Amino acid sequence: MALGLLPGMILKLIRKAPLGDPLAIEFGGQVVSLRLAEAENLIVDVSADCPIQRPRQP
Amino acid sequence: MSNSAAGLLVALVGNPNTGKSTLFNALTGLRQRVGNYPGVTVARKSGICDLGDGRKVELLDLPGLYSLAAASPDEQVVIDALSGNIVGARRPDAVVLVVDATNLLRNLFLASQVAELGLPVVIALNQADVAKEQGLRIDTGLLSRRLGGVPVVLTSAWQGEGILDVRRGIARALTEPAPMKRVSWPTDIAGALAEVAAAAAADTGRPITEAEAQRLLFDTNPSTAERLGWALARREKTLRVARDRVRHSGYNPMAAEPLVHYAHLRLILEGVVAEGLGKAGRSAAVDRLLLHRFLGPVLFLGIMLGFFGSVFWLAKFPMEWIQAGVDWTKSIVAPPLDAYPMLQSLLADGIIGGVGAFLVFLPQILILFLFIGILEDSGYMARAAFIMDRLFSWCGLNGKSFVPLLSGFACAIPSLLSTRTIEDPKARLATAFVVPFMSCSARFPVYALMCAAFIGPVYGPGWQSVVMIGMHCVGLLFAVPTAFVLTRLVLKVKPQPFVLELPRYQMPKSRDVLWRMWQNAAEFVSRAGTVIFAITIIVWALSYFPRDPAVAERIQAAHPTAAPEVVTAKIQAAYVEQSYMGRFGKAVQPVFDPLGFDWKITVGVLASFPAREVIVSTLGVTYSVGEGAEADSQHLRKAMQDAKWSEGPRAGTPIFSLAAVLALMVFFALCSQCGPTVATLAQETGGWRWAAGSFVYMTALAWLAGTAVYQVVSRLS
Repeated sequence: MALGLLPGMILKLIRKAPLGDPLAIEFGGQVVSLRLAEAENLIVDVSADCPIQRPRQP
Repeated sequence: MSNSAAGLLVALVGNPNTGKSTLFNALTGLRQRVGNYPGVTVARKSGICDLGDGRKVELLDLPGLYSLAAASPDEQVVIDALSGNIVGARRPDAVVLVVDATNLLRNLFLASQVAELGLPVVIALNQADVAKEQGLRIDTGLLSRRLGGVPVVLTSAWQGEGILDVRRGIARALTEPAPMKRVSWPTDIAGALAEVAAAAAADTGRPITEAEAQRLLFDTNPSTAERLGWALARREKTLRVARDRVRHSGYNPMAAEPLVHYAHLRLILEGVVAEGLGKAGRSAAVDRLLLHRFLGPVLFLGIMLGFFGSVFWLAKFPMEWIQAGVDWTKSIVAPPLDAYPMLQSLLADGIIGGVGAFLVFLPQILILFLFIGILEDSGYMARAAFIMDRLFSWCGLNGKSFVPLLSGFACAIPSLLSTRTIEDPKARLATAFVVPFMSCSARFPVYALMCAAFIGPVYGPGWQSVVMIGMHCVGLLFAVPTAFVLTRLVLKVKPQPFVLELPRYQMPKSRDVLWRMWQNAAEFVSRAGTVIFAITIIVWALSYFPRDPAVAERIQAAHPTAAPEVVTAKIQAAYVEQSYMGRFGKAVQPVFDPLGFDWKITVGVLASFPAREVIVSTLGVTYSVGEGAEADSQHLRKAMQDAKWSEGPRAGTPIFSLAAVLALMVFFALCSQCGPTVATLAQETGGWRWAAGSFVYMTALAWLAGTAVYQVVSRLS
């Protein structure tokens, strides 16, 4: 959240690391590496061509 | 620094990768001082900044961070420094917030949190040149008005642009401080904050600031509550009730703070940034190559091998010069003191030899720091961590452990210092614990001597290389399970989140990289240098005293016709044998007997505590070939090849059998045989507990592995 990953944001999966984990994800004009374990906590809506995600409320 | 005219203190705060340190260097012109914050291993960097109006202020460069919710020791220091909670340190009079102009929203989140502390601020929109290139136009006047009139300036610290504006901004913030516009908390959150503040004030008997109340309510980390002395039993219920209130108002309590701040900032930034046509970042194109599924790891290995290969290659020449300089100094200092043998030995063998043994590693360390600096500033370090993370995550470490571990092959001490880049404290501790297992360059002369004397001549150069490479892998073989056991069973860490920004690639600025190399090297010399100096003197004294003249007379009488240098060597050997160190070596030899070590090797092992490679010269003395022995010395090789057990069950057989040679090398590969490393480990882990644990663990492991090798190999051959 401190990095500005907020509900309603558009995420772009840039690439996976060579061993499949972590992922490089682009949002808000920056690229951030997230492990699969952390990325699993994101709810991503891949409907249409504009994916929308919001963090799951733990 | 109290010599600044008005005694004003200004702090520099910002996200990582914003060019904050470059701006700091530009503002202070390298008039800097590096110290440490009490109790933590976070460097305190400060310098004098001339405001241009006759005033000088002390500028404090605080570690980069994304949020005031403290996770690492670095972040805690920022919060404590800004709140004035560091004992013996003043609270800053103003804060310069360094903001990446290409990513205002995220960067201003920290600014918005800092605004809650109520300090006057200046906002420096750094990397304005990159923003311009990307076609971003920022209305600084509008932003300044929206933020309540705080100075907002555009800078490109790399080019040296806008530095004057920052100075003027600081001057303005100090003379006519305008508070930065703060967020307005939704009613229920404001209510919850008030409840927490009131309860904490009542329980601790001290006033609670709004910023403190926010940390208490929003952070899962208890550091603020602990600092305030708010007992767990008392705060638990208050915090639960307050967080429930936040939850009922529709906010997840753990996410409420960023959500409210970001909503506030979106309104402020409305219409501030105009996006025009610009070039897309080149970073994406570079990443397509450097992070490519197949090419990425290949290039990564190439870059790392290239860098670290050149650490050894480039350092070779200055190391030879330093060695020659040390020998020369000895040859100058020693002869005039022939009449005072004790002083001569203390100066030549103890002080000059000891300092020399340490200085020889300085070129390697400088180059290592230079490369780490280039990797960090260019943005490739984050990519390296990204590529390697999966390999390390299973044993509780993370991608950032890679560079400290690789640097460990040169020297453990700078590697231990570089573990500070790892945020997760347990991953950092585990990395620091396994760094000494990496086969550092001080082990190399030991392997080289043993291989050249016993493996090469008997089994051929092919096997010599195999054994050399094998020895470099032994440590790695034990490091991985050690990290696994340590993180899973001892520290019991659950896998920690590892979120890492992959910043834009940038050309490292030579001034910044060289300056940091210099600062790190100075820290290395002052820390390790003093320890190694002390240990060297102690070890020298133990191997010098007592010195009974009768010993020399007896040997001279026994060899009346021998050449003088042979007699001198024999006298030296005899003195070492009856010195405290020699006696101690003989006394503890039974402990090392299962590894096939005689008392001479045992003395070598004990005396090499200041630095591992010292065993080569110690063996030189105990095997009567003189103390100038080096790893490629023919005499020493010959003397060791000829050495035989004089008594006991192995009498008549060679001491340096294949089994004993392998056991000695394995022992050196694993043992914690380096005083400065133990001392640095203690400093970096915040106490002697982990350092002592590392020493005992590694020594025990080395003994067991050495014994296993000796017993198995001696039965097979």
